[in-house]
Amino acid sequence: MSSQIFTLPDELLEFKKSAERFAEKLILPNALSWDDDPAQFPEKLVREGAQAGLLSYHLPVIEEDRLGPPVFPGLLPTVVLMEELAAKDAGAAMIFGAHILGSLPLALIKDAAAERFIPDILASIESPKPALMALALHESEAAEVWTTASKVEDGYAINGRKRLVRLGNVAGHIMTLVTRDTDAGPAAWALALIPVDTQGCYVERVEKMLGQNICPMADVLFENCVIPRGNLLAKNKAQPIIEEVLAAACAINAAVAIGTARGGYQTAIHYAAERYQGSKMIIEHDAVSGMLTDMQVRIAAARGGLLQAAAHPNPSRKELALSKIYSSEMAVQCCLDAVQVLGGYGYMHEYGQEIRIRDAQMTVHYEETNQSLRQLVNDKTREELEI
Amino acid sequence: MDSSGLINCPTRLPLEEAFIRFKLLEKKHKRLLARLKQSQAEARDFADMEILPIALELDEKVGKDTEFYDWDITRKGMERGFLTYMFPTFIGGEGRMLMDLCLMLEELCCACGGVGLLFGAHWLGVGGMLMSFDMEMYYEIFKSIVEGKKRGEPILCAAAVTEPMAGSDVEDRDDIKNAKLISTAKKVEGGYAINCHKVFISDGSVATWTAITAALDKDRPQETYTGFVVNKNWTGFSVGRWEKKMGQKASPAAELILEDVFVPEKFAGTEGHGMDMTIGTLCASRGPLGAISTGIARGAFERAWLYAMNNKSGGQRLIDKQWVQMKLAQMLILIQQSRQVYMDAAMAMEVLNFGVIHPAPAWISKPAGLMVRTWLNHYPGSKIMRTEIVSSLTKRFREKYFATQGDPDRERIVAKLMVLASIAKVSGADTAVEVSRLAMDIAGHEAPIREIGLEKCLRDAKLCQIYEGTNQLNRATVIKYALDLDKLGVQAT
Repeated sequence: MSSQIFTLPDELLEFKKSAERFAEKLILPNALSWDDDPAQFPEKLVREGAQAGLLSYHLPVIEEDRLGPPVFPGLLPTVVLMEELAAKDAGAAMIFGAHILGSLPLALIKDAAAERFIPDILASIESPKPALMALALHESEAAEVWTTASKVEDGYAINGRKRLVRLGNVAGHIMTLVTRDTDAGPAAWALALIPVDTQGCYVERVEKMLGQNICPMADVLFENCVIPRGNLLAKNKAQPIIEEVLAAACAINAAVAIGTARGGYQTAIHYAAERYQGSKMIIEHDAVSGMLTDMQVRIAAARGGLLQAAAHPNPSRKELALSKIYSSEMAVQCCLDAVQVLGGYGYMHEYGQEIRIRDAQMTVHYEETNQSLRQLVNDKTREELEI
Repeated sequence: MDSSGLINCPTRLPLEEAFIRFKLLEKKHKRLLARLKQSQAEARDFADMEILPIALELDEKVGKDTEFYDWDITRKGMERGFLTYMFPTFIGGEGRMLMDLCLMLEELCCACGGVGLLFGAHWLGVGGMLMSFDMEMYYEIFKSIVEGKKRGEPILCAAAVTEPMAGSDVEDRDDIKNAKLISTAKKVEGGYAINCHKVFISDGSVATWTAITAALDKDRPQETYTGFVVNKNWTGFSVGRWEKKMGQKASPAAELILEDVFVPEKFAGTEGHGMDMTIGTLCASRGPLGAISTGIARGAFERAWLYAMNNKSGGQRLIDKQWVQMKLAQMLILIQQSRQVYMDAAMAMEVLNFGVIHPAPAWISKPAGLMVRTWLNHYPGSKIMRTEIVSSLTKRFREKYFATQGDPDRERIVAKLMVLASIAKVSGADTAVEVSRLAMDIAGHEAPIREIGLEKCLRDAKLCQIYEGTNQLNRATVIKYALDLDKLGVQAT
């Protein structure tokens, strides 16, 4: 499985190009001001993104009265898109990334209950005010699910608190991991599709974070929040769905990390070719060219690993985890170096380079921390080797 | 963060155990150790009680309004003597030395890198002025700082070296030759007219006195580079942008624009000795920079330590998990290393300092030392000290000092100091960044949240690799001066 050699198919190369144009036109000019004032959520970006298909390409399409396969199935398109957007601004990329994660379960569950929602979601995406979807997994302690769904007369009552929900305060729906029995472990898990205007669904706080500021993270509280019976999805099979979503989250964060590093590298190498110091352009100093080359090495290695893992028809959770760990950590190092190349200018907000350190560091912590992924890789490897 | 849980934190060992060499020194230098312990304790108290409670809030305030400056914390620090720290006690100072300054900066930066820099940049400015060896200048400037303290008004200093087109180039004795300089000075009657454009000047927008460098002839910078001191109230002095920095926000980084500022003769250094003065200043300042960085690293460690003590995962305290212990251990190792090397640099300044603070040959240094003491004993004293006799004496002293430039004994000492100081700077800066990253790993999902305080450590840390010469320039400097030693011989023959 790890020896395939591929090039991106033509339609993905085209997709990549249009993603780049989209990012250049709609993201790049705003990246600084978004970082300054994250309270101004970029509705326009979301709207234009929706029109360009960036909120729906991964979802089944409506063919006459049936649902047909997505325009771009699989992880590869998402990986390509995320790198291009993040090369301009990682926070903006993660708005789309978070929506993809929030809506992906609908495509993965593959039953009538889930498919029932797709036409409405697609219609909203085409409307002037597209409803984003958020994914709510984390709680106060990692890997614990204490948010409950209990049967009531007209549906399910959701109770609990979800931490650090991306887009939690701006999304239209929150795909929430719940349990029907806190003692029964993952077997009792399910996914509750909660419209944010449901009574009992509150945004408690929006956290101030290190980076990716334009993609907000909120704590969401569910207090006797009653949803219709049909909104509780993936009963008895939520765990494999969550595993697949988390695998996609690894791919998305790895791609965002790579894009962020690439953006930092591009700024750095152009600056190095223009900055005179020590009697020559700094790109001619070994101290600088060495750093620039190391950035290229790392980015190329990370991208190779990610494309390899994402191109597989059944992407491996472990391989994507490997890719996310490496990509996120190399991205932080690349961006630290990319700032270093710019010296004092790199440290100043206005030059747009210091944002990248902050954005890259975010990929180390989300959606799963690198520490928990290291544990996962170790566990899976031992399973494979039976040791 | 509440510092009460940190009393037994491994980074808070008693001074003579954190730096075990002081255990040996204690026998012969009881008073020195007592003073150092006092310096550390006072600064730690100030950091825990005054800085820690406001650090995050201040960072956010400046983030929103780059021209916000916290005069309140400056005043509180002034009352503790942080602006008069290294002045002799009998002129109203605290009588501390470079080792004390390093300990103080480590403590302050542990609570907040920005507030630490605010006081550190003041001493960088004072350091530049000290390099002038000009008693009249000392008299004016130090008097104003001491008297400001008495009035309750902080008088700050800053050093302005970096220019838009020259960062590393103005911190290297060879690269200055081909630097693209903007700042110039012109001899006029009674002094100099200077035109400068300086950028990223720490404390530049709030300092009353700024040590500044400019070339008399841009085509011959090495020969004509000269140090000056300017007052913010002088005609032609203006502050441009207050930069929006990634971290260390409490201390502003400002653009300074000087248009035909007249600098009286007595505020000018010796013509052509600007680079010599810069090198001397860097020998003294890169050690404290290592201390600033180590302090930021320690802040990250202590926050992570408390986090690991107080948070559980899977029913187990984080601190009891092996992966957390591996990271904490690595952090502690780096901090211990950086602490020792910054103390090496600071001690070397005090032990070997004749090369920089005083000229090397004893026939100059002895009478010069006597003269300094005489002057200080009379401060602020009788008018006699400001007569022409004193002026001419200090002038001759200065001339003698700079006449020793190129003297192998002196160059040897400068080289040794520069190597140690640059090592301290690089080691501290890399430690600060690495330790902050490791600290964030420990706090997992919560690490990037501002209130946890760890993301600020990372933001603060990154600047350490850039200012006082980038780490790349500092590494080059280490070997450049090591090669000087190779040429001169490591010992006098």
